[in-house]
Amino acid sequence: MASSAAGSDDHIEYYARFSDGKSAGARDATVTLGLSGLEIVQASPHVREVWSYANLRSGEPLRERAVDALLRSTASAGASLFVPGQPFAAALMMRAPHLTARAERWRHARPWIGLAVVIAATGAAVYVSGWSPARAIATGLPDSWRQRLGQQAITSMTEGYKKCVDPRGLDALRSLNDRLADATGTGRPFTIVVYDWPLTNAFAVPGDQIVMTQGLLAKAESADEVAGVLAHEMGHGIELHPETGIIRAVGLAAAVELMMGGSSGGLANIGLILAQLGSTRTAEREADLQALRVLRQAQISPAGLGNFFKRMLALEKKDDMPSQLKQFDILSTHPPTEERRALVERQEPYAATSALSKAAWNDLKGICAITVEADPVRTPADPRQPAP
Amino acid sequence: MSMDHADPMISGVERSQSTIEITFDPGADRLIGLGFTNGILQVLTLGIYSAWAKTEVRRKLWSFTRLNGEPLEYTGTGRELFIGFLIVFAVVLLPTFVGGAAISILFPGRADAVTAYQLAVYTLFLFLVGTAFYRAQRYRLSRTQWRGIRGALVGSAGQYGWTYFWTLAGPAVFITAAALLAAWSIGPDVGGTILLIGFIAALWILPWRANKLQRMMTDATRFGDRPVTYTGTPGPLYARYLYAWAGSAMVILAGIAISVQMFIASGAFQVWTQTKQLPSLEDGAKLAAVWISVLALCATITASYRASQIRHFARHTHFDGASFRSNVSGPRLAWLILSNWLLRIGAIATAISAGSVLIYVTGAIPKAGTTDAARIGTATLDVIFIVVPMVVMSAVATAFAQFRSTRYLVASLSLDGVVDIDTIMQNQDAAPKRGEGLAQVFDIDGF
Repeated sequence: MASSAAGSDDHIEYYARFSDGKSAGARDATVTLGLSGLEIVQASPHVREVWSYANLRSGEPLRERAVDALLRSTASAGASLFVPGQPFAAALMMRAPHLTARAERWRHARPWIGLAVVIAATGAAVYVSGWSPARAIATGLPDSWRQRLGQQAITSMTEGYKKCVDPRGLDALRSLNDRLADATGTGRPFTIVVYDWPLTNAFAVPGDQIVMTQGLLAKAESADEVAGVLAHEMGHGIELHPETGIIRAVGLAAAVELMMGGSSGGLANIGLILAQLGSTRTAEREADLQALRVLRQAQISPAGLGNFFKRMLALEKKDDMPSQLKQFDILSTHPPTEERRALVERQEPYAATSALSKAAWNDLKGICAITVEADPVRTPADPRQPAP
Repeated sequence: MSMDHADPMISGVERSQSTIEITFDPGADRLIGLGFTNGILQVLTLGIYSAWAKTEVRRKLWSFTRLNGEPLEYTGTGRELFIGFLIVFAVVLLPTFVGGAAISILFPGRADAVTAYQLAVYTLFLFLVGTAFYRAQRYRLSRTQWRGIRGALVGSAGQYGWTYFWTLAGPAVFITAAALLAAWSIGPDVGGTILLIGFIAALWILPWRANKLQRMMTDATRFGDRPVTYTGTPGPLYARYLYAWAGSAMVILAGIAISVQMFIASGAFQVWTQTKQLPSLEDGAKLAAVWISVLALCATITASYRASQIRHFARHTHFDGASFRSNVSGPRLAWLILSNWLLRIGAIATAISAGSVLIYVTGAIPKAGTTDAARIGTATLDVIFIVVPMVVMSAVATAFAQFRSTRYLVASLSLDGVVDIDTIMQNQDAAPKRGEGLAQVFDIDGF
């Protein structure tokens, strides 16, 4: 390439091409490494100027192997100087070390390392303080929004199953609901709907609504067990867990989308699942504690809930899941059943009566004798009344 | 003082009427190191760095591209890209999401309301994709300089987006309407046939459409104050398109025939029809081999059309007194695309293997009987062991693949004729202030 060397680099004149940034034409020039800056002499017209080293900016960072240099000066807007040849680039590295790749790399990385530290510190602070932004937002949601969100969740989760509406069963359910809801002490009414669904399950959705399956009623051995399960689901409602869960999932997904520049994929989802896992297990513990408080207030024995956990434990032991997979208990959304059963057994005894009379319990078990198609858009006028 | 004018391309006084030689720096760095650094910083900043990573890769690729020996300069910044993305996130993505949530809440269980909303969103997005292409090109040109003179894209992104939209949506709506009318007035079979044949026939609009969009984009392109012009017509594209269209169809039909024959010969087909039992692993592997070959052949045939399209576009693109020429070839383009995909897949597979080895060696497997905190900690470690190598290796593979693509496309390009370089003055159009947020959202920014 075009360059020359004669004696010390102070006096070497290097061939260069000078562009003024106004037109694409370039003029031949010579450049010398002066004491304070580059001395540039354009051939025609004869113009001499000095670009101080401190003001120099390089198109690409200078490296040992660089075969040319493209330079600008902050003092000469638009103009650029292209100097071909490795010797000039190497000599300039000594005079303007801020243009080297190492300096550039550090200058570039410094704010990012700072940001990484801030992210880590913020994450640690939020974790230690236990503050949940999702919970804070959930608390501010209007009741009508919570109701509609809950309806939407019920519709999507119970699709294809009929609602159980046997009148005597509904009376029994209302009686149990009233007793438990009064005991929550929140003044908030709860809506409980039973679906003709063989799965053994009950779940809380936004808007203080609870779905219970016929399968759970069939497996339950007493009204106290059902009361225990319902008190647990009411616990979720009291703590606004369903609303918080939805907001947390949406917020995390939006944050990941934002961070990944709009191209988040499966990888990010692993992080999302992990991020929500701890919260879900904590929520279950909180719901258990609320359930015990509600049962005590309603003067219903917690033994039903304990018995329910005991039978779940027996089912888990019978489960034929390979032991290697059981190690990944981290992926469970609930705390270990043994731990939950032990919590119930630690409760101080108190005076209690049966959750329902024998007759009412039988009526509740038969609630699915009459079923109707679920009306997806209807919200019960009086949420205290089980939906017909 | 001594002057050595050894390189005729650079030395001497450039005559006003000059040729321009386009080269790709043969000693260019492969961007492996840059990809590695980008990957690490993306991990440390939870991905926020990706806009800056993209900018760093562009800076390198632009500087490797030389006109008469002098490098192009990329002057865009990561900040511009990031702010562009944030704005599009707030203006497009967030309202789309909130709208979807609102529809679900306001009309619970109403599938028709959700479908109508989705149709509206997809329609809007189809328009926005074209707009995104144009805006991304405008941003990149405005941040591309040679000798301090920058490029520009004048014209309307909305107009381009609309053309992009109606040339796809128009035929689709017309064919669907005709099929529905036929189904209603004659019968569903006729409607279905019209729909199938209509959509296959509609593929023939693609070369015309590509030529039209290329004309809109190129005619609006400027280098400095000098326009770039396009004179291509779609006619010459059709011969190669016929070859690609018919060739792909024949290969797919051959693939189906071979698969059926293979299954009948091995008896797997009879077993499946009688017992619904899936074919054996060996038969499955044979089937996979047939269809991988079909895909590879289709990719080669399609690449041949794409290469001819690139050559056609280049041949009819003129700047001052010169015309571009590209000698991109179908097989080499097919190999470039295929090998870049293999590179990315290989990088991710390597990362997963490395992560698995790390988990095995350190014994970081969540164990029953330990505390919740311990299990969450171990699982987090596992995710880090897998995710960090994946992000880093993916960044390395992406940078290297972009390097390979740019090197091939630039090295294949030349400018025949002379350009009056001295008279090209700086562009005075206002440059966009922010980066190509839309293109990022739709993941269509090639570099």
